[in-house]
Amino acid sequence: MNLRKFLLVRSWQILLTFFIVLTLLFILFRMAPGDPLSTIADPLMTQEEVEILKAQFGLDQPLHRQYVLYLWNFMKGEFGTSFHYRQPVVQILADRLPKTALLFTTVTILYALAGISLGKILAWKRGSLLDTGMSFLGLLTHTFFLPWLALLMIWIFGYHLGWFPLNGIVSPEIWLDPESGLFLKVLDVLHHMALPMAVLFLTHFGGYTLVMRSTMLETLREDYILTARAKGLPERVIRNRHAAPNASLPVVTSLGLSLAFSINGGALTETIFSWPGLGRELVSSVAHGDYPLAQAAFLLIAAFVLVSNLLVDIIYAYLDPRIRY
Amino acid sequence: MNFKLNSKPAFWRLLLVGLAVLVGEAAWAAGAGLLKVGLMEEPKTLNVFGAKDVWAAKVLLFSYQRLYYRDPSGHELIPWLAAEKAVWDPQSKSVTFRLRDAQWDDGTAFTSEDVVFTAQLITRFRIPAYWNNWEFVERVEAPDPKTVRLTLKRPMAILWERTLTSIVVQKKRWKPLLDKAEQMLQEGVRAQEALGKSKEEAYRLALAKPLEFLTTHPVTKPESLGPFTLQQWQKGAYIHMARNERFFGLGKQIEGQDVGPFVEGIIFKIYGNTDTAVLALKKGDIDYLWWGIESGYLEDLKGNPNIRMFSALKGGYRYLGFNLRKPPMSDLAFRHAVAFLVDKDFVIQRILHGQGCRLDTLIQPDNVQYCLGNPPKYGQDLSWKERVEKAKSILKEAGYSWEVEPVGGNFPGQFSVQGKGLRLPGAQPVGPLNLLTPPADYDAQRAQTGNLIQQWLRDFGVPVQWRPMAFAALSKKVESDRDFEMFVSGWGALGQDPDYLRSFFHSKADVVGGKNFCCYRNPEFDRLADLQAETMDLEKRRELVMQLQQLLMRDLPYIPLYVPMNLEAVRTDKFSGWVEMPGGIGNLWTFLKVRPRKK
Repeated sequence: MNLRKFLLVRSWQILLTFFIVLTLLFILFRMAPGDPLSTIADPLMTQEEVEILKAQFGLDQPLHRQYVLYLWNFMKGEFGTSFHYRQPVVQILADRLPKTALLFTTVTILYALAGISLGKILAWKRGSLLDTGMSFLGLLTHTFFLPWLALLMIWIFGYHLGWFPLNGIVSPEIWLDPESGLFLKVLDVLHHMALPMAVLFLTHFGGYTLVMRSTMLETLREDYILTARAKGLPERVIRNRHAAPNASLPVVTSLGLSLAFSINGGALTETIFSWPGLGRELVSSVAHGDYPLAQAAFLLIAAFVLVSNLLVDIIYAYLDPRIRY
Repeated sequence: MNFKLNSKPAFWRLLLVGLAVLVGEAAWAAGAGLLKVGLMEEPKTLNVFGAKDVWAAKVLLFSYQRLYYRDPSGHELIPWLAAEKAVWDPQSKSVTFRLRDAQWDDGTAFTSEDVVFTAQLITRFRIPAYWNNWEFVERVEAPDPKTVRLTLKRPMAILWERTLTSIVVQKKRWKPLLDKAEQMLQEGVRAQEALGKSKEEAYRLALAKPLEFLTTHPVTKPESLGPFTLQQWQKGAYIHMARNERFFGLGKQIEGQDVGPFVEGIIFKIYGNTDTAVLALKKGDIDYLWWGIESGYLEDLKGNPNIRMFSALKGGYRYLGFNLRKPPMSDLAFRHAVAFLVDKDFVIQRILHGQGCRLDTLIQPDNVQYCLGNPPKYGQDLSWKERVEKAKSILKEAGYSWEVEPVGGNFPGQFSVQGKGLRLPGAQPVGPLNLLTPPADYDAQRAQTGNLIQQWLRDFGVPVQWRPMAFAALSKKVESDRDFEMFVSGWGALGQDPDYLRSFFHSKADVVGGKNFCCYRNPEFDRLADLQAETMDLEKRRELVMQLQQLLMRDLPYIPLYVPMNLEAVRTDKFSGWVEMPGGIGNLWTFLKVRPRKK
């Protein structure tokens, strides 16, 4: 199969999967117990007012008609209006997505790079004190309960030492001060990113380190590494040019998916650090039965994951000459 | 070499501290004079007709004002945008009042046209959550720019507490939107009539589109008649409100109250969880956390000399509800027996850790005007043993029997002989009965209360099964399917007007979508409830509402349980003047009276 044909087949598969996700989301939200209006209607509203709200949100229509409208709107690129925000969901997602991407995509790249580099070194120095110590540390931090670690970090570095802000994305005092320049504002955002990034880094880098270490150890047992050594190549070249690229193949797959999933943020991290991203919104919209917002958020994640999968397949073929489509 | 190795960490440490100091100093300098308030979430929208969340209500409180507002004691309505008390004329079924001299924040004069316009907008488009306060108003007139006259279709007592305390929007700002919505409505009505719908049906069906237009219209800066005006909303981070220099009360006395605001502005900071918000309060990042704090934080905060705690009853209550469609809940004797077995004081001490108030009627105790003064307090002065004996005697008298008759012990919940197999008067076994509650992660107090009641009833011989479930599932079972036996739930944000009793217990509300979940049907209650709704004389209405409560406490469709306390915390080192009202210190008066402490 050549690449063009492969891409064509995969695109069809992606479209079909996306349609299934689209339909499943519609069904699942309607099957969930409870009435989305129950969190909107206050106890003093009359029955007639609740009926008006229902008609306004289109919930008075039969399910099949709601489904057809949902598909039709999707084809037109309309995802509806959030029940709670009373805004088009596209606007809400457009506001939240960059903030999530800023934090989570940055830290995902950082911990993946750190994990790959460290895993490579640990495998190379297997059995050393560094290997034992870092493997243990990676395993330990990987098992930390994220909310606990986050609160601990806030308590130590935010509250007691006062080095970092407790939460949020910016300090109003700086952003409201007309004398604050762009540099200070950028610095302020970075300052706010530091703690959540540290927590995410600590809880995730260990996973990448251990996977990379493990695949690297396998690769180092390959014949071509022995050949490289026999050729008298320097150790650094064998490690970085011959072993590491092959060992990193499974990590690349994992990284691709992690990057795709990074856009859904982490509801826990975003809640604890009051980071105004997509993850917190996703949980809140599901909890409150905000169908349009929850559906659109899940569809966005599905689209990212499907496209990332395709990209990973292509990159895989690029990295490993043995794989051809 | 040594110098190089050691200088790296030192450099980074210096950089880090420098960064913290730089950013921290700038933050300190810019933030002086502003009241910093913590919120748990940001408003969903600032469109006052689209907003349904508590966070929007908090922020909009400072912009949209009401004709009448509660005084700081919380017991009396005082003229706010109105300049005088409204006088009811029973002949013409109207009230007339004059307005204060006031200006919107853009300098436009506030006139009676704004009030007339607001009423027109709400009634024409039947705006949910507002329309119920206006639907009985036949017309609103502006005889002159400072006089308003409301004429009612029929007398409705909620006029005082709900209609006249409804918000007013600016005609200048909303008129173009109303015109466009009206056009949509007309087009919609024509389209529906062309399909053969009746005039009213066509109007009702055509409402959805203009209503959607009005409630989704983006409002980034709400017009303000109030003490503060919105300056900036940095989504997800903060909201900045500055003092409105055109506020009608600024520096004056209103109804004997000194009115500010005395602070330059408010910054609302958003916290996603209580842990971080409490740390922010302790650290001094915020001066007031506008959200109830759980009792678990009390000890920690009490030890801080710069923090003061306030406690007030929350605006709502918790109750045990029965499904009167099913035996034995349909039997008054059974409900009375359960009332004797539910030890509310024990619940408050053990589950609420004392942070609650016993409730013996269905109007909150801090609603001094309407709360029944001396309601029946089932079992209050009895020991546990006596409670069990009393419940047994009530059931025996009604013809119930047991396989094994229970005998109460010396402590609440203790039985020296556990009961088994309660039988109905016809000797049929009772049950099994489900007792539904929300889950502990939604409301631990309600869940634990349900568990405790289950234990008491089981040991008494009633086969009850406690079933915590997701709140949405509970709502469906109770409100839509009516498929339940007993449930522990609550009402919040009921306000001061007692007309909600009519919504909850009138037989007309025993329909799908209605709020009479329990199927309480009592013609005498219906008659009194309808009568109080139309009684404009407050004293006469008060008597009727007392009678309603007596009926409810005799018939017990709900067993009222408790009102939880609202614990709030403020920093005392920078500001003073917090005003305690029913519901807590988060009220307009606090923000009108709070002032920086003199150094």
